[in-house]
Amino acid sequence: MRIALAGQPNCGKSTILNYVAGYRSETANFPGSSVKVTTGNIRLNGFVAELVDLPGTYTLTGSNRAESIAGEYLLDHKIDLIVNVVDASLLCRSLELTLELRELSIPMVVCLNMADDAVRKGITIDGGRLSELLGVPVVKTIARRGEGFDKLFVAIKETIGVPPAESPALAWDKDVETVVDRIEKMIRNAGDESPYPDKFRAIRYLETGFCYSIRAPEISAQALKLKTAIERKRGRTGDAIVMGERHDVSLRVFEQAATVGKPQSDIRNKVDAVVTHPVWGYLVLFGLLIGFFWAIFGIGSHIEAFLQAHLASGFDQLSRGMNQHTLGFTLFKSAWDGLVGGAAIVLPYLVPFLFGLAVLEDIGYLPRVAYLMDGLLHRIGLHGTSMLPLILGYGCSVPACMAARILPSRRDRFIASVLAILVPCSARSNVIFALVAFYLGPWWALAIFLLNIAIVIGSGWMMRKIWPEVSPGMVLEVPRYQWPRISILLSKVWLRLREFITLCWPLLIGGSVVLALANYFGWDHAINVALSPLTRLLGLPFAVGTTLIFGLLRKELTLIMLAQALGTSHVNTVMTTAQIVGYTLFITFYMPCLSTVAALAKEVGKKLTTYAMAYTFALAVLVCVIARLVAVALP
Amino acid sequence: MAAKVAARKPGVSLDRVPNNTEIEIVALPNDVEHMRMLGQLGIREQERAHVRAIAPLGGPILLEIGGSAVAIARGVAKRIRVRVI
Repeated sequence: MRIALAGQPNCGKSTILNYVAGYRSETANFPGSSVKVTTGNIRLNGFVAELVDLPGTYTLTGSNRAESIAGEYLLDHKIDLIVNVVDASLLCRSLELTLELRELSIPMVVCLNMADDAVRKGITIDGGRLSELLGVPVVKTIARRGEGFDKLFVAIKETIGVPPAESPALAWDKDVETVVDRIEKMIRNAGDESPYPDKFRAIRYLETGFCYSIRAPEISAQALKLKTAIERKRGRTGDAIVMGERHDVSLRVFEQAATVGKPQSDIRNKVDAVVTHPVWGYLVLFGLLIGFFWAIFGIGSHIEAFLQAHLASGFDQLSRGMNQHTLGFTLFKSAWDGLVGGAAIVLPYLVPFLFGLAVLEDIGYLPRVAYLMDGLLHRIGLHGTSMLPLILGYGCSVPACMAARILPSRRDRFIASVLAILVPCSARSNVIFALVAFYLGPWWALAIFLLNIAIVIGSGWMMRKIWPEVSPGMVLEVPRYQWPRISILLSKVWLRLREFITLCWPLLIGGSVVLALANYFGWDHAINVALSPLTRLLGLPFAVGTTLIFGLLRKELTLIMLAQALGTSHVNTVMTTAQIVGYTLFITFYMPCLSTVAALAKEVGKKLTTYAMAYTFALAVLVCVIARLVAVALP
Repeated sequence: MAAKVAARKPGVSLDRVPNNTEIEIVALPNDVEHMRMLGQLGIREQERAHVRAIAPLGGPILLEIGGSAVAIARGVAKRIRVRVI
């Protein structure tokens, strides 16, 4: 059994999935943050049902890829029931999608989520009356607090196998209804097999000129005549007519099922007045980013120093009496280095970073960042919605590439994806913190982050010149602020951290062992010789060649490999300041990890991905060489 | 010719409306993509809205409409005609 969660962006679908099926769908208070289908299993009536969280969409015939994913999924898969999650405080607008989902004639339950926000806005909804008008059960929930789920599950159980009831309250204007009825009759008489209801196909034809499985050309010609006639009569295109009808019905239903009173005073409006102020807004943004940086470095460096000291003494005790020239000692030390690297070098920065990012996502600040930055991004040919992939890129480049789906044009998706992978992900940020900040000081690390931002802006400007195309212009819903819940924040951090612990950390240990073995048997020398033209050009020590290869697996590996390759974890005793900076700059830019390459190829295709990889590599070499020349020129 | 056409259009373009103003939407851009995008967010002809904020440097306009806030890029706002209430 398959149950789909469908609704407009930011209505709480992913929160519902996470609550009932365990945390598996990343939530963020930003429209378009869910861009893929996520599934979880729930127990219902004694058997297991698959719960599917679809990307938020305003319509099933959406223009961006994230929206079309939701529509396509509902049409291409057998769905036993739809839970239409609706933001109760935006009921009137949300009902348009509800009506569109009804047309699929799939059993449906309307989940009126964020019922508390509706009350705050002064909106009182009669759930029973709404259910009568829509012909489907309606249940109120507050998903963030876990309230209303019992009633939701009862409604789901009772609605399986029961399609939406007919409701005269949902009738369209007579002339449009007549056209839809006549097209529906033509489709029914054609007798072609289709899994979709005839009325749905008729409406879809009027809307898009395409109808699933109208095969007979004479039917298409007759239907086209009817479509053209109503469009001429109304002076609008078919999709505008259908959208208009759904809007009028939504308004009627809202007026009959809800009353609007005086809203409660909401401090969030006062906060927003400052956050979106033309002067204070930018000061807040700048202050938050600097504060974010200092907090991560401050917490991380203290924990790193503490752990390094204690774990080093732990190794000394465990390895006492071992012969340092044996293979056994080499294996033990390399495995220990991998283990310690994850615990003492990566986690101290990664955890506070992920937590801070989760807070910014959950409170709803990120759309405000898109609003503030749109003017600047426009100058490099993108618009404010591109901020989501760029900000997600600071966490991980894989979801950042996927988030570019919310952008309307292929060009925007490509440019946003490439810029997102230039942004240092948490792994690369770890390298910056653990190498540059730790050995040279926080100002050096800040300079690298700022240089990175300048290079990202410059790259965007250049790509805009190479691929000039007018971007459609941002139209972005800015959701209300939400107080973050600590349980959700911790779950989100754990979801992201779990990948590091289960995949990356074993890779770190394994990679460290492999490099130590290569070192022991002398194999690494061949790799370093092959890469020596590059390392010589970059002014880096001969031994670091192998670390660049491992960095393609995971960037954190470069930290562990560096200690292995140099024969010491005190990197600053072997590498100069210029070399530490140059190495870090190269790691920051050169190529993303293989997971990201795969994700990018899936989004933009292999050809564009190849161009992107060539660009990032060339850019990394250029930046590193310039840094080297500057270091040589300085006294 | 363009000036005459512009002069005949009702209302003013949204990008010329000052901050903190109540408006009524008079006409939307006539391309399907923008009409659809705007319509999905409740921005339709004859709807009332409030200009909540205007970003500097040619940035977007933050409109409060139907209980939600929508950021509209300046280029799109230029093509939306409104009447100041």
